[in-house]
Amino acid sequence: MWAVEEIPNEHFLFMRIHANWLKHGEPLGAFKDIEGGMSTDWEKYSTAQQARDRTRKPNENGVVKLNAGKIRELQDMSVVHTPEATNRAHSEVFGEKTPEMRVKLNRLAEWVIRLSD
Amino acid sequence: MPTNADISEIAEPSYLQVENWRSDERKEEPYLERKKSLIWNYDVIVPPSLSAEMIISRLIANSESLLQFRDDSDEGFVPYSKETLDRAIGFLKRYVSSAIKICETSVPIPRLLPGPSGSIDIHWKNDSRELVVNIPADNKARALFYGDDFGSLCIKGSLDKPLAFYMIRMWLLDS
Repeated sequence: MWAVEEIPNEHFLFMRIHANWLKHGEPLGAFKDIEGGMSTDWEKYSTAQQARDRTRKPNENGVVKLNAGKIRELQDMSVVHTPEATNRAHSEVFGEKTPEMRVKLNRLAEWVIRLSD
Repeated sequence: MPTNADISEIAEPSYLQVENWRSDERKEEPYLERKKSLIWNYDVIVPPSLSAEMIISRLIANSESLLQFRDDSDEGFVPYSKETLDRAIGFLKRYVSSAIKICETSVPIPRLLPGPSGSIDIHWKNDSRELVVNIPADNKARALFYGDDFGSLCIKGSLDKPLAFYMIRMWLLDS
């Protein structure tokens, strides 16, 4: 198993966003917890493309990046490296994803791989 | 401290006086400027010729597709229920009906977005403000809202507070 490391504030996390979240408007609903935290991939051990390819249908997903330090500046949000056996980059954003936090996370997100790419 | 007599003087202008004052204020405000202040880049602006019923029926028609929404990459995905959608539409009906009475030019109309865990987001956004009301899938859970001006001014809370609806309406119409 991989060792858990501290993610520096200046590093970025990649997060997949499925095309369906964009059909109605901005993807606020994509910023959600799955079994604990919001799942992301740390740039130290993953490229954006690799993050995209970890899903069953990569072509239906875009990838955004979020700055770890900016996330930590949000109230009650924490960023933790949570490596998995098959994914050393796996990291999570913990903290309740209230409407306020989802609006702010959406503003922090920058597209790296757009759905048209 | 004001005396009772002072309060009485302040609190009892006639209905007509208040109406005249409001009308005068509106005349001084350039129509175009007021109209511009209500344009929401992200969303639809409703022309004053449309009735509240027409606006609501359009919103309902546009929102039906939420019930078919899926995220194939999320194994824990919670589908959207008609019951949750109906509660979101109920909020919209109340908002549109009351806003259209207050606002003579046009009413900012939100989008209904898929939210997390089967919840539905009602989302308004323009260049100067953003606001989201989240209608949870669990009808016993609190419906939370948050809005800000991209700066230090913000509004947040839950809809179970009696004044929340009016705060939200005021926030949206005062943009």
